[in-house]
Amino acid sequence: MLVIKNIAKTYAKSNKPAVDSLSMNIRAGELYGFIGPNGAGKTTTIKMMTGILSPDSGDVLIGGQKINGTQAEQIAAKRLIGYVPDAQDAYDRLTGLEYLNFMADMYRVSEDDRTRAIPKYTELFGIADALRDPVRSYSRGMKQKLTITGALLHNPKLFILDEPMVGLDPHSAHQLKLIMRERVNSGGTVFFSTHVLDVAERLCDRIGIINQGKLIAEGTLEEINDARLNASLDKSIKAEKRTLSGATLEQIFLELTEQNEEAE
Amino acid sequence: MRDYFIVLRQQIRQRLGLSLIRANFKKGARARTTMIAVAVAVAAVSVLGMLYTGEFFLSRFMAEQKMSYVTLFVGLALTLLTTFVSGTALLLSVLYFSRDSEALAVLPVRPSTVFAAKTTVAYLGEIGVSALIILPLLAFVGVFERCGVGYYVKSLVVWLTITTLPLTLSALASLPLMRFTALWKHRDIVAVVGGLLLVALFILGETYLSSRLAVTLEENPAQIVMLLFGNTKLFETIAKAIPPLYFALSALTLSNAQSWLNLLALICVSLALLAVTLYISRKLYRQGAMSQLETHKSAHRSRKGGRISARSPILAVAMKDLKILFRTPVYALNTLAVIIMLPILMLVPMASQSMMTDPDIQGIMNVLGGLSDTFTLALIYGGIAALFSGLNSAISTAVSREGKQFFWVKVLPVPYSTQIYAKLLSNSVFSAATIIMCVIIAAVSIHLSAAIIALGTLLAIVLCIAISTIQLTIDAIRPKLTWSNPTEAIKQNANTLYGMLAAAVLLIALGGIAYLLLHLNMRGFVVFIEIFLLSAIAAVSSLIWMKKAARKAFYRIEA
Ligand SMILES: Nc1ncnc2c1ncn2[C@@H]1O[C@H](COP(=O)(O)OP(=O)(O)O)[C@@H](O)[C@H]1O
Ligand SMILES: [Mg+2]
Repeated sequence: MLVIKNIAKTYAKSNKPAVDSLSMNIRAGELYGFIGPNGAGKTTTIKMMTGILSPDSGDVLIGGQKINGTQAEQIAAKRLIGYVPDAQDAYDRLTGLEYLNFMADMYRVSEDDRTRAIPKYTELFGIADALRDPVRSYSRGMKQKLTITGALLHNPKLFILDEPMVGLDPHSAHQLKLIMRERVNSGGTVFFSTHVLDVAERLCDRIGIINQGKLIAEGTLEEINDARLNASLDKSIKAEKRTLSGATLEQIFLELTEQNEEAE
Repeated sequence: MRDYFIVLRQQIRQRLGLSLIRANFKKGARARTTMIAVAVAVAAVSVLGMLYTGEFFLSRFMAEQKMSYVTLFVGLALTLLTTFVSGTALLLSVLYFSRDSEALAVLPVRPSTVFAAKTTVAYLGEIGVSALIILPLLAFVGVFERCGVGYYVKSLVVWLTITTLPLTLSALASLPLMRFTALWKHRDIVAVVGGLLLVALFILGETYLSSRLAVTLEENPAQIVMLLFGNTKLFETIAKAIPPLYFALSALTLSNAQSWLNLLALICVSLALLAVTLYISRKLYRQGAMSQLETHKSAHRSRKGGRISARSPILAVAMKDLKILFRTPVYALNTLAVIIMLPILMLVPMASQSMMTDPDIQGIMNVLGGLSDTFTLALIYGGIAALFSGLNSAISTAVSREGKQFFWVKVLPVPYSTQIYAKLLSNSVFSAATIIMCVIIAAVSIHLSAAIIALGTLLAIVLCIAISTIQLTIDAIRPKLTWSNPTEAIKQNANTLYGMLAAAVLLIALGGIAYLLLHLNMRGFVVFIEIFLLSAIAAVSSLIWMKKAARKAFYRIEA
């Protein structure tokens, strides 16, 4: 569904690459968690996946279509994506409903479909009553819920979320997790970045860990843990570490990202 | 006092640092940027050069006639009027429509201190503008009248104090206005309409003053010559109606003790005005500024805010742009002002009897009347209508106004060309409104014939397409997306200037061609057709250019 081949990106104002020769392959029907410390390159990667940034090298394929290819390919790829940006950026002079209508228009969602989808999600998130108010008057969490709803209206094959749990109350975070699961169960693909590790741990089919622009581990929690243990054995790290065979994602995460810093 | 200087420094940094320098020299001075900047500089220098040449000859001639009083009157009156109009707009945007109100409200600083700092920013802007107009004139008069050091000292004081009058007047008018908009539900609309009225009021005041002058002229049938060589009493009488102006003139022209007394009076009046304004701001500023931040929530949910309905992507983008434009006071104020000011600027002087007998206007009318040819007049009319439409900053900032939301342009599955055409479509509302305004003025006030208006309007429409397309493309190629406050997007945006420049270049080029052809004794009918075809070619080729340029630019821009 989503194939990332060796992408790299260095921002104009910096000399260090924000993302460096990163490759991933996310299969249809998969719930993929993308984790990494602040400034690791998660947002940069996602922006390249959605076509906001063009990679310096490498390709991003969405359902076989190149997001940075010809115009027809770009449009076809973008149509498959539902994107929730990290800053809750909706057009704040519109009302909530006007914003949702706008998003639905852009993805050519039929009137029937949106009449079904808009109440479904807005009632789930408890923002149905605020839909006729300007987005400017929304709280941070309400804006987040609105952009999530806007990204779901066209029933996207690939649902991409950048730090979606930030700013959500526990109830809404729970609802969002259910929605993400439900999309995967009905054949969709979900890719989301987070630094809330227990969410990733409990929810994801597979996890990718990014640090300093490089993918340093990928797989199910067990796979990552095994790889880590093998690596430890190779390097003949102290025996006591072997006892951490059933480590939590938090332990693995801390260990891996620290190791990487030492390697610098 | 310390607070005041801290806020003032922050305000000045925010105004100057962010907008101009960073926008123009982002990635080193690119050749194209430099070239455009040079073109703008040349235009500015030539306008100022013309102004200063005029000032030079006026002051020399008047000094020979022992009439420097009139020179100073004209200069100071011009300064007052210019700062009235430009200052009001600046003050409103600084005080009420800037997004930092919220951040400043949190700081442990008194609202009146914030008000004072912001008003100072507007004041600095005004003395900057007035310096360009009045300082050279004051110097010329000083040289030709062989004045001593005292005169120059007084000149400086006059320059620094005279603009407090327009400044405090606009502040005093806007304080209650913005306070009361807080009482309305649709305060955005009230603020926009009120702001427009305020500016209109000042323009009306200006027109009233000048028509008074014209009436006085009429009563003296011996006309201008008589006036010039007659008495300065006339100007003194007019000046007395505006005490600060009178004090300033007296300070500059009277001798010694008298003049210093007048200067003192001028300073006192200015300080008193400032004190009164500051006092009133204590009561009214805070609520006024804060109320602009609040958003109206509808009580009747079923009516406002729309319902579920589908549109084509191009219409959806166009409607979204228009909604945002009309709901953001600074945008609405700036784009509507050009359209609404137009008839006020033209109708009022035209309608007032005195202006019609003004020899200058008569002269223009005679020239126009001499061009009895329908097609030539249609050319002129169409060009002017297109120029007015080209002055609107709605289209030349259409991409910049996306700001932080620009990434949606790239994420949404709609071709870049569709999105840019949608912006052109939404702008057609403004072009159409301007053209309709022009038709009304032409029909009601100037009494042009139907044939001229019809042909001219046809030409204006084609020209508007070309001009809007070029202006939009300029903004698409190098939009200003990093702004934190909508004022920066529309007022402190160099693309507005480049857009107007491009419109002027196109119109001057076409005008030049038309002039040449007419001088070659070609018939008006033929010239009109030729110019119309040229405009159509310009429109079509700019549309093609825009599609390509926007696609390339949108792909390149990483926001
Ligand atoms: N617009 C930008 N210009 C320059 N550097 C940037 C920009 N955005 C992000 N970076 C840098 O790129 C790196 C990765 O950032 P980002 O992808 O936002 O990380 P994350 O989302 O994982 O927290 C960081 O070092 C950050 O400083
Ligand atoms: Mg991020």
